[in-house]
Order: sequence, then structure tokens, then C-alpha cells
Amino acid sequence: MRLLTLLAVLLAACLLSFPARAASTDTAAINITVNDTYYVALTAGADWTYTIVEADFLNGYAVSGSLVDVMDIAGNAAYEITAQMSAATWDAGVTLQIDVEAAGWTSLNDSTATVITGLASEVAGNQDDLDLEWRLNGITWANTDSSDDWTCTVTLTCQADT
Amino acid sequence: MGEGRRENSRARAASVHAPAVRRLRDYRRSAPRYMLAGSIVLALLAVTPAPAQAQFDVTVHGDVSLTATETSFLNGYHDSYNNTITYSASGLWVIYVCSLDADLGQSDDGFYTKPLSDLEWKRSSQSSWNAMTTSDALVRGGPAGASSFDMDYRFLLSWSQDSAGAYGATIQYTITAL
Repeated sequence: MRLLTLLAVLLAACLLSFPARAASTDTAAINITVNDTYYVALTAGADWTYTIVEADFLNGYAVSGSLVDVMDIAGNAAYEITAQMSAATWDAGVTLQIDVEAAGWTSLNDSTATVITGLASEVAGNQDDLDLEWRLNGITWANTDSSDDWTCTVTLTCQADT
Repeated sequence: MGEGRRENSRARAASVHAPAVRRLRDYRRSAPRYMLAGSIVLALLAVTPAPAQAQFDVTVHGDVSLTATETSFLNGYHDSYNNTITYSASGLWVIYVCSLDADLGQSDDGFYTKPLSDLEWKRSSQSSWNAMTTSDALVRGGPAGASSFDMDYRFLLSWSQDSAGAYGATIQYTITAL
């Protein structure tokens, strides 16, 4: 009997001494929006180095292709590429042209940015490899030294046509 | 003769009812003890001041809404920094974080489900990021008191995987006694 009494007292004491564990919660939403037809980025390929061959003299120009990655989030995102050439030391009569996705040759010079528009016709969420071609005009027997190096840098800027 | 029969009858009755009588007698003897024990417990409950209820509260910053940019995709992520969590605790405490959503939702075209692991978190004072999960992850703990700390969130972004859409999750912070 005394044991029962003692146990009852101890139980009561335990209940009083150890209240239930308390906890509290709160929430928040963390959201991000990826807009449609807005994002494009461009990664140019490696430097183009070309050696003019006899056929180029016969044709009067040299052509070489390269690839540029245009990455778009939305499918069929319209883009705009701006190309600008640094000051170049061409021989007289030599000019550079660019063609993107066979849209037609556009002349580049070192004073005016040339705008080329196109359509990245990839499905959403993929990168698109743009065909890019360079054409060096004015390769003639008359205005070309027997041995020469011509160098220029073309800066390509790509933005979505929103 | 009649007197003897009555005595026999009383004796039989007495022998038949003896256990019940004993139980009643025992109860009358032990009842005061049960009552005494009960009284002691009640008295203890009455006179012992109930300890103050432990208090643990956490308040999370408001909703965070971000918009990805071209730079976000070039970087591969978009961050939100210094989102404040405030707390108060009457004892040792720990705070956990988890997502109530299993993923970050679908793209507008419905073809892509952004995984929950593309949402990362860290305390602003830390350098390494942790992927958000639906299980409680320990954020920090400490002694009793009231204060605050900041949290950073990061959405991982990929040109090759993400497409247009509204993504997100509801995250829950829980503070509890250690």
C-alpha cells in the first residue's frame, strides 16, 4: 500500500516536472520565374585562322565557317547578334563579311556595329549551334602581298529580340 | 427445538456471507489509505507551482520571389541573400528546415519538372550550400534566448534543362526544444 502511494506521488511529480516538448513552425514560399522568349547567350567558337590558298585568289575571296552556340530558354526565341570588328590592318580592298544561318552576307567594318537578326529554332531549353561563315573579300593578285598576316577581332553580342 | 434451528440458520448465514463481510471490512480499513494517497497527490498538484510552459517560436521571412536573368543562366544560379529568421526559446533549441513540396513545379509547357535539389540553402554566415529536401535538416541550435539569423537561397539554373515556367516550393522552419 505504501508502495502504491509512493508510486502515485512519484508519477505526479514526474508529470509536473517534465512538460510536453514545445515546437513552433513557420513557412515561406521561395519562387523563381523563368520568363519566356527572353534569355539568350552566345558562345563563340575558337579563333578562326585561315591560310589563303591559290583558289581564293582565283575566286577573289576566302570563306571559312565556324559555329556559335546560341542558348535560348524558350523555343524559337528571336535573337539579335551584333558584330563589330576591331581596327584591322587589311590591305587595300580587303573586306570582311559575316553570314549567319545563310541569311546573307553582311559587311563588317571597324566603325559600325553590324546587326544580324535570326531565329533560334530550337526546342525550349536547348542550345542552338548557329552556322557562322566568314568571307574575306578582295583577295586579288594585285593587292595582296606574296606573304602577309592579317588579323582582326570580331566582337559578337547576342541578345533576345524581346 | 425452534431456537436451535434459528441458531443453525444464523450460523449458516454467517458462514455464507463471511467473504463479503471480510471484503467490506478490508475496504473500510484500506479506504482511508487510498484516500490518503489520493489526497497527497492532489495536495501536491495543488501546492506545487506548475513550471512555466516552455516557449519556442520561430518566424520566417516573407515569401521570396526571384526572376531569372541571362546572367543567372550564364552563372548557373540565381541567389537570394540575407533572408531573416527570428526565434525565441525558453530553453535549448534547434531549428530545422525542409520543403513541403516534393519538387519545384513544372515548366509552362508541362514537359519539364524542376527537381527540388535545384533549390539550395545555407546560413548566410556559411559558405557551403545544402540541397533542399523534404526531410528536416538541421539549420542551427543554441541556448535560450531571442535573436535572429539570415538565410541564403540558391536556384540552380541550366540552359540545357530549364525552360520557361514559374518554379518554387514552400519551405518550413521548425524550432523545437533540444
